[in-house]
Amino acid sequence: MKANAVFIRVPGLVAAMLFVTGALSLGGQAAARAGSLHVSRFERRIGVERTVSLKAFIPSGEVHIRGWDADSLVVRAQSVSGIHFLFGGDARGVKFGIDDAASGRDQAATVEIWLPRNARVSIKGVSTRIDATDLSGWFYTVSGGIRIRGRAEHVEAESMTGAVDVDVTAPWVRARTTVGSLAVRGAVTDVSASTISGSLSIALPQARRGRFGSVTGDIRFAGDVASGGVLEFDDHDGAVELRLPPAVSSEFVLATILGSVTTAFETFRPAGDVTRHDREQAFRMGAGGAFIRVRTFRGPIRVAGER
Amino acid sequence: MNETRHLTDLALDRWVETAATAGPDAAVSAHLERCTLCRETAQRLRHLLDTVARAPRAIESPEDGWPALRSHIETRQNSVRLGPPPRVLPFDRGSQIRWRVAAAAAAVLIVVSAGIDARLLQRRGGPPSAILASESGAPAQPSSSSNSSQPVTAEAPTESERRLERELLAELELRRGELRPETAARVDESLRVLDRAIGEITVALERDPRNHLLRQLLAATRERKVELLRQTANAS
Repeated sequence: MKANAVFIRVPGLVAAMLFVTGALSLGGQAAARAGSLHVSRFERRIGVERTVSLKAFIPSGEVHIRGWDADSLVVRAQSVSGIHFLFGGDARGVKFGIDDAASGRDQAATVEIWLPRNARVSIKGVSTRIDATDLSGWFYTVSGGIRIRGRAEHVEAESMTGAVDVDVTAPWVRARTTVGSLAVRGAVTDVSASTISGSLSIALPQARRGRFGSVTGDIRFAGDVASGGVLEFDDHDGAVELRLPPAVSSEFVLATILGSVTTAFETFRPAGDVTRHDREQAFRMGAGGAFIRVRTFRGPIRVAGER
Repeated sequence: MNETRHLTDLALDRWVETAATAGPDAAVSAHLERCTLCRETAQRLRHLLDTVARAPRAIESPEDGWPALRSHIETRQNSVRLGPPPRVLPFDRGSQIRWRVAAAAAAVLIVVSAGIDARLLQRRGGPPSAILASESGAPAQPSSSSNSSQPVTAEAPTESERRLERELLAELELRRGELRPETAARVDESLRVLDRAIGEITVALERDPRNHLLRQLLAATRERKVELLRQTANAS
């Protein structure tokens, strides 16, 4: 009994030292665990075919995706919330994504992807901002913005509510948004672009085929039409403004139901007579090798020579 | 003659098809006079073709079945909410939800497949639906007037167009719960803008039914609405 009492009675100094040591150890482990939760990093590199297809789902955050000349694919991702990155595939096709089943956490991630220029990509996001360069494929986000640059074979960019900005050299571009603004620039042969209420801005030096439409958003076109090209503009309430070089060679039909048609003939001289019928004008510029048609319900139409 | 060799299906098909119009193959006819089995087969084939010929060219799908389906689902949800709390294990609850989703998906599938069937039947034998000027793919031609001397034959959307729109709207309703509220609000706002524009053009068309410009604007605006609904289907 006395021996037991001696064993239990630990000197105060030793007890204090043990307590402090234990506390420091536990605190360190907790801090380490907290640190691992604060930043999740992911990096994967694999050799791929030049025509590899990539499918990626990134719910929120931002994606920077670039085409390069190397025959490999690199994915780097970082998130602040310790979410799970998913990666699978082989040299011909790769899937990458963020596990959105991790509920209750902010899934925002910053993702950088490099892959061969001839790859086909399919990127889907929710509130994700997509920034792509030198790549072809489908880019879709619900409320984020999309920005596409460089050279591509085909580009399909759709945002439900965000802004879309496509500035590419590509034979085929299709771009859509609803309330966000939409800009299509660069050297595109065949383009289809539309909004519901967002503004639509097009700057194309030699468009061959184009369909541009909105319901209440304004449409502004600056550029020229290629010989034999056809451009169509449809709007309901929004204004349609075309700024073309004075030497443009095209037939024009500008028609509106309730709006007005204004052609700045002082900067823009037609080759023949101008046919006017109610709220419609038809005329020809130059040899008339192309065809431009504008239709609106209420929105005003204005055509002018480029300043 | 020993009739152990019967006519092939192909020969029988040809004979039945040509019997009513062109002169049927005499050799086949002769064989049919002698061979009971082939004659019966040919009679069955002819009966089948007659039945098909009498069948309606297009089958209308149930008129917009989604509202009824939706109210049924809501009624069931309400009755579950109002009733005593069910004693179900989490697994069973998940199973119930899965069954409901599967039932809703099956209903949509039925409507969609009925639409596809109807379209196929229309394509095979029905009167060709009017092709919109902007969808015809013909090279655009300038016109000096938006009022043509030719009447516009298809001012109202075709049944297939209406059905497609209904199907997409039904899909939007199914997926609405998966959309973020602000996105759903934006989609609804855009749909209102589109419907208002379609309404204005439709009223104008009623006053001026020969106006090709209105017809083209209507087609373009409807196309935009379908695009929006398709985009929304990707959003969830």
